[in-house]
Amino acid sequence: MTAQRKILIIDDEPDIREVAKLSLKITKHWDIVSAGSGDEGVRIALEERPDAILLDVLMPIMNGLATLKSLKSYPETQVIPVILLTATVKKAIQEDFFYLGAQGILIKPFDPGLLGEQIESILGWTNLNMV
Amino acid sequence: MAQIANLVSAMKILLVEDDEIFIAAIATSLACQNYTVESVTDGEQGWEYAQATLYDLIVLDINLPGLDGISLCRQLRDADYKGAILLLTAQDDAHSKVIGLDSGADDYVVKPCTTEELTARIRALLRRPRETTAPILQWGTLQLNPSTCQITLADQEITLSPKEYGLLELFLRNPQRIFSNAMLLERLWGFDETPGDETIRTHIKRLRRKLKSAGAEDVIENVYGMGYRLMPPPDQLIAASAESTDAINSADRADQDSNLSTASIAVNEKVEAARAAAIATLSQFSDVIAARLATLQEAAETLQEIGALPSTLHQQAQQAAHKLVGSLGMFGLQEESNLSKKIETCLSQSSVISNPCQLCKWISQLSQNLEAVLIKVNKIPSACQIESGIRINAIFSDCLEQQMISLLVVSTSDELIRALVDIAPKTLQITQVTDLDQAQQQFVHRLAQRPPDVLLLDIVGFANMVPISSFLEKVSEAFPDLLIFILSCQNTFQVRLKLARSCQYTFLSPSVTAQHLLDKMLEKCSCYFPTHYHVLAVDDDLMVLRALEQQLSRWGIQVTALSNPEQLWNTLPQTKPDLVLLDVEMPRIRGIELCRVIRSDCQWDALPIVFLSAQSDCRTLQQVYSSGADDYITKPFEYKALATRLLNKIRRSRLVQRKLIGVSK
Repeated sequence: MTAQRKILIIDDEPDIREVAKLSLKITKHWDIVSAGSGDEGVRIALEERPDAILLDVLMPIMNGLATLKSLKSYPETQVIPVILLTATVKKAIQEDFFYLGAQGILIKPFDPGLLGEQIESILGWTNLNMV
Repeated sequence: MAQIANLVSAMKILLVEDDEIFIAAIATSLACQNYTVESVTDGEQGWEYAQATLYDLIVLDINLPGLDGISLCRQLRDADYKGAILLLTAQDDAHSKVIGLDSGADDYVVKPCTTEELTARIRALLRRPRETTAPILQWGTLQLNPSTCQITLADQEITLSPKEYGLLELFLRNPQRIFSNAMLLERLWGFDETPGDETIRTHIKRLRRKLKSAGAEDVIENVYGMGYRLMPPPDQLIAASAESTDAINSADRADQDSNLSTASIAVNEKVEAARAAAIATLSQFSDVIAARLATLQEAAETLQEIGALPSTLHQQAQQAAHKLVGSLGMFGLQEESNLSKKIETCLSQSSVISNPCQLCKWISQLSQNLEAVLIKVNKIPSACQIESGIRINAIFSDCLEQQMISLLVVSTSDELIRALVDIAPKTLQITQVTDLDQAQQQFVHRLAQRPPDVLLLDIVGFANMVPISSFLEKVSEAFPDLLIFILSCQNTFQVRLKLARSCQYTFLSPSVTAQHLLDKMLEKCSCYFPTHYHVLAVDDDLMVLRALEQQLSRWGIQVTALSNPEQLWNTLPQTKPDLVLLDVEMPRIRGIELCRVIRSDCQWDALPIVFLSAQSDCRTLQQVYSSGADDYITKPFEYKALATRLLNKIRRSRLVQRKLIGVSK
C-alpha cells in the first residue's frame, strides 16, 4: 500500500501541468495541486504543505530560481523537497539551484508513464519505506 | 527495399549514396543479379541501418550529407563491422584513395563509373571469403540463425513468413530499441508497398501467435504511443527476481515470483494508461502547440525574407522551440521533440543564426509533422473531455437530465390524442399536429431545441402515399435516431414495403386500444432511450480502446475499456454490460477463448458479443461464430457504422429479453 502523497506542480505551461497531474494520479494515485506561476506556487505551497514540489525553471515574471528562493525563505515551506522540471540543463544554472537546496532535476519532456517513479527515486520514496 | 524472402539466396547490400538517380540505376542492376539491396541517402541513416541489419557489403559515397563516408567507414569498422566496404568518390587522387582505404574500406571506385564496372567490383568483393557468418541471435531458448534463416525454440523449428521473420530478426538485433509503425514500415516494406498501421499490427499478432504456440510467450511488447520492443528474455526476469528473493526458501520464492509478475503487470498497465491519458489530452492543447508552431513559422518566414531575425522574434522563437521540446515528448511525439531541440539549439547559439537554411528546413519539417498530428487530433470530436480522469459526455449528461421523451403525433383523430394524453406517463411529452406540413414544421422549428424523439404517424384515411413517403424519407434522413411508428388499417405487404423504402418504422394497427398502442411504443422506447448503453471492450491495444471510448460516446455508448483480458471475468458481473466487444488476437488469452468462457455461464447466454478484428479468413470467422459470437466487424471500420451495428444488437437483444420476460410472466 502506498501512502497518499501530495505534490505541487509549478509550471506556466498548461499542458505540462495537466499531463503531469494525470500521470501522477494514474500511476501513483497521488493528490496533485498545481500553480501556473511562481508566486501562486509559493502561496499554494504555504496553504497546502505538499510532500514535494515540481518546479519549472523558465517562467515569466517570477522564474524558477526566484520561486525556489522564496520557498526556502518560509519556515513552513523550506523543508519541502523541490525537484526541477526543465528542458535545458546548463551546468551553471544547475549549481545555483542545488546551492539553494533543490533535490534533483527531471528533464522535459518526461515520460508520463514513468514520472512518478522518477520522483520517487530522486526523493528516495521507495515503496518499502511506505508499506 | 529488402525482400526478406530472398534472404537465403541473396547477399545483402546497403547503398549509402545521396544521388538518387545513381542509386536507382545500381539498385536495379544489383537486384537483377539477385542481390538484396537497401539504400539510404545520408550517413546517419546508413549507420542506423548497418546497426539494425547485417549486410554483406556496404557501398559508401564519400560526400554524404550529415555523416561523411570516411567517418562512417571508420565508425563501422570501430563497431566491428566485418562485411565488405566499397567507397565511391569523385576525387581521383592517390591521397584520397589512401585515406579511404586506411579508414577500413576494401575497395575504391571513382565516379563517374559505369554500372557494369561497379557491379563487377561488388561481385569481386563478395567472392572474397570473409568473416560474415552472422552470430546466432538468441532470446531465452529462442534462436534465430541469420545465415540459414532458421528459427528454433528449444531445438524445435518454427516456421515464419518472410515478414514475420524480418520483424523477429529486427527485434532480436535491437533488444533495447522501440520501433514505431513508421520505422517498421520503412525497414520491412518496400517503397511501392504502402500498408497501413493495421497491417503491421496483424503481422505482429501473427508472429506472437506463432511464437506463443511454439511456447515462447511475451516476446514482443507494445510500448504505448511509441511502438513495439523486444521484452527481456524470461531467464533474465527469473534471474532478477531470484536475486531479490535469494534468502527466501524455495516455496516462498515460487509464491513471490508469481506476486512479482502480477505486480509488474499492474505497474505496466498504469504506466501505459498514464501515457495513453497524456496522448488523449493532446487535443486540449492543440491551440497551445499550434501557437508555438506559428511563432517558429513566422521566424522562418522572416529569416527567409530579410536574412535575419529581429531580437524580439528571435527570443520568442527560442522560447517557443524550448516549450515544444518540453511538451511534445510527453504526447509520444519523440521525433518532433528532437526536431524542436535542434531548432532551439540553433536559435540559442548566438544572435546571428549561423545556418539559416538548415533552421528553416527543420522548422518546415516540424510544421509538416505537427500539422498532420494536429489535424488528426482535431478531427476527433470533443464530445467527451477528460477532466481529472473523469469523462464527461455532453450527450450522455443531456440524456440524464432530460429523461423526457417527446412524442409527435400526426393525426386528425382527437379521440386518439385524448386517449393517449390520459394514459401517458409524465415522462412522455405529447405534441399533436394534424397534417404533414405542420409535422415538418415541428422538425424545422425545433432544430435549435431537441427534435421529437418519437413520431406516431396516423395514415388512416390517407389515400395518397407519395407525400407520406417523401415526408418520412426527409425526416428519417435528417433525424436518423427518430423512432417512427405508423398507424394504418392497410396491413398488407405492399404498404409495408412502400413505407420500408422510406424509413425504418414500426407498424401499428388502429384496431388495438390506446393503452395497447402506448405500451407498444413505450416498450420500444425503453430499448431505444435508456439512460445509457454500456459496452465492455477488451483489446490489448490501448489506442484502439481509447478511440472506442471517445468515438462511441457520441452515440451515447459508454465504454468500459479492458486491456487485460484476464480481468474480464471479474469485470462482467460488476459492470453488467449491454454488449461485449472482443479483439480476436490478444497476448496470453485469445478473444475466442474469452467468448467461450462468457458463454459457459447461463447468466451471459443472451449477452451480445461482437468481435473486432483485422483478420477475416474463413477459419477465424468460423471459430468466432462457433464460439458463440453474434457479430464480426472487420477493421478498419467507420465508427458510425460500428455504433449503428452495436446499438442494433443491444436494442434487439433488449427487446427479445423483454418479450421473453413477458412470456414467462
